[in-house]
Amino acid sequence: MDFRLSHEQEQIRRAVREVVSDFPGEYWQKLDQELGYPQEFIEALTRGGWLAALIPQEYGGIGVGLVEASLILEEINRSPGNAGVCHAQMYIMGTLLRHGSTEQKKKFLPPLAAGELRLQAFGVTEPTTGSDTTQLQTFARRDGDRYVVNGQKVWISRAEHSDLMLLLARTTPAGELAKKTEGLSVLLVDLRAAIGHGITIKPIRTMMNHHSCELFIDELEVPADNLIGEEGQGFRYILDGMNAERILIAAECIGDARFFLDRSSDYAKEREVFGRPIGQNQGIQFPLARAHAHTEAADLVRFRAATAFDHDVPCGADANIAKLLAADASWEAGNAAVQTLGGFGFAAEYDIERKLRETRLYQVAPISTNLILTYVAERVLGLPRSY
Amino acid sequence: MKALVLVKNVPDANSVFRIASDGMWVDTSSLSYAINDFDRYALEELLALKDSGKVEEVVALTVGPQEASSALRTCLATGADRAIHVKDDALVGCDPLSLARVIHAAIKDEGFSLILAGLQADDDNHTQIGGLLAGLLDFPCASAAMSLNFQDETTLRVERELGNNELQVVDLTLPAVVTVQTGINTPRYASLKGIMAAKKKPVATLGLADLGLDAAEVGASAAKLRTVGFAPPSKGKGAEILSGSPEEIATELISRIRENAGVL
Ligand SMILES: Cc1cc2nc3c(=O)[nH]c(=O)nc-3n(C[C@H](O)[C@H](O)[C@H](O)COP(=O)(O)OP(=O)(O)OC[C@H]3O[C@@H](n4cnc5c(N)ncnc54)[C@H](O)[C@@H]3O)c2cc1C
Repeated sequence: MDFRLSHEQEQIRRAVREVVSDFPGEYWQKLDQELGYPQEFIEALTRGGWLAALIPQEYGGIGVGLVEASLILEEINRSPGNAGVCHAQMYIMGTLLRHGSTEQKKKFLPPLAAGELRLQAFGVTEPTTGSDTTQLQTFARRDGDRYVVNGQKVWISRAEHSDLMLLLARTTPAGELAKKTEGLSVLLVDLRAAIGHGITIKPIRTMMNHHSCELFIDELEVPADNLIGEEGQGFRYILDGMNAERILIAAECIGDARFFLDRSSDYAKEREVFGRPIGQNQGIQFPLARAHAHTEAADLVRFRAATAFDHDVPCGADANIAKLLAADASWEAGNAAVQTLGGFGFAAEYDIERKLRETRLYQVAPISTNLILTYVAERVLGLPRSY
Repeated sequence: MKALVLVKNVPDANSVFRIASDGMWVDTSSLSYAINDFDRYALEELLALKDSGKVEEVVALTVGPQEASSALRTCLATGADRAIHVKDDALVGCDPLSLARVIHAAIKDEGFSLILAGLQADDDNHTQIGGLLAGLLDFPCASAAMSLNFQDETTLRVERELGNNELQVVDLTLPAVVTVQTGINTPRYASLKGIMAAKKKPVATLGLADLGLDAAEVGASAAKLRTVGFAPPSKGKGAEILSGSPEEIATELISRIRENAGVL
């Protein structure tokens, strides 16, 4: 087994570090305070082709694998920044790429690769059904050459900053289904046309600047040409996309953890109290060392999962485990960082408190820790189903 | 017009520097390497000339061990067209003159019209390679360039930075060698596309035998400049720690700067 990165992968790390170095802590602090969207940051990433990483070359993208994509997002989160503002542009298109028709791919992928079109929103979660995705209720009724959609979505991130949204909606009533994983379909919604004409967006104020929204969908018309794949198979289509999402978010958490550990180790070496660096005390060292060890473990599973994904080998268990371990590690590292910095851990200027709020999300979204544990218990260990 | 940039892989400033046990250099085991900062500006200058159509081909060259190829990959990823890597164990410990001879042998038949290098390498600071190579090629050389502008097809105007920030303006008749200062442009970042495209760009690897050179002429044993000592900077004699409250320290500091440095 060779755990070393290739030259290109090392270069990707270094090059992303250079790009993000133009966006220091103050940039993100200001956005956090003003609930702003990092337009310039997205533009810089787009210019370098970073967000087109996973789009194949034939559609104008770069066509690298998930290993490389995960390095890009990790390095963004290893800086004071946060890849949550753009990660979806990388992976949501995966559903289109794997299950869309040639015409759909030709129409949408090249402008996505060029950054002229944003596909940053993924509409799955609903207020009444939450984690129980197969029970979602937003309904898309076929009417000639279009679908008419009614329902409600919640927590849909970046809907205000995206041109397109991938929407998961019911096309067959739950009562008429033999299998509960069927009856859902994926539609590509043009938000630019839909807002005010079938979709009303209401931003939700959260503990971090994540641009999440509530969507009220009322008689929204979507051309039938925008159905991805076959009607009724939507749940299956988004599942493989979810593995990519989990692996990439694991990488972001690893980036966060490393940011916390870099910052707090530096601080612990410099800060002198009682006549010596605080980092000389094992009470300070051990939490950092332990968080580091947990981060490294998560990192290994991340690479195993990403490699499996790139080789088209089933990666569901590893993708989930990577996300679980990485989200735990980043939270642990962030917590240790606050403790290490003492009062300064709470000061916005030091970026720790903000990044701790940001990384906390990944215990809940896109899938909560409990549901990952359920998956591992039931699918990997074969324990009886709890629901 | 074909152009060459000379690059070097040097310890990056964030490395941990310790003196090696032989006392002649730093302990390389604890170093991480990156492309010499000055060379990034030299490369950018050529890439900009390529963008404007003045230069058709940009070639990057380094002399160094296997790991030094990462500096070349950086050049290829940012836009250089091909690379030449001269590596030979016999070159470890060679002096600047021998190094210039090696580079000369590698490129003399290439027909480069413009050769750029960094003013100096961040590690050994010799500032010699550009000048020595120009001598061997019988090309004119301008050092410490702050800007490069073509006057006509064969005349390059170079603004040179002198000691007290004055600029001297010189015209060079091509082919020529120019060594550049940092900060003269904004080096571009490698793009993801560039990194992936670099994989397919040619890198020629040459040893002394390929260049028709003999270790006895250019290797460490032939060096006429040898390192005989190496020491960390002595603890500054003039250093003084000011004490008092922050306000007192600040007041004292300002008055010292006023008196001693004549600024403010
Ligand atoms: C900031 C933010 C951004 C988001 N962005 C998006 C987005 O862009 N698109 C999108 O579709 N969704 C998005 N989400 C939604 C997110 O995916 C959901 O919040 C998440 O899936 C959990 O659903 P829920 O909030 O309804 O919680 P619930 O499903 O109500 O769960 C609440 C708690 O109960 C636990 N629980 C539920 N069932 C079980 C069980 N059987 N066993 C044990 N524990 C259980 C859960 O683990 C959780 O801890 C986002 C959420 C947030 C907070």
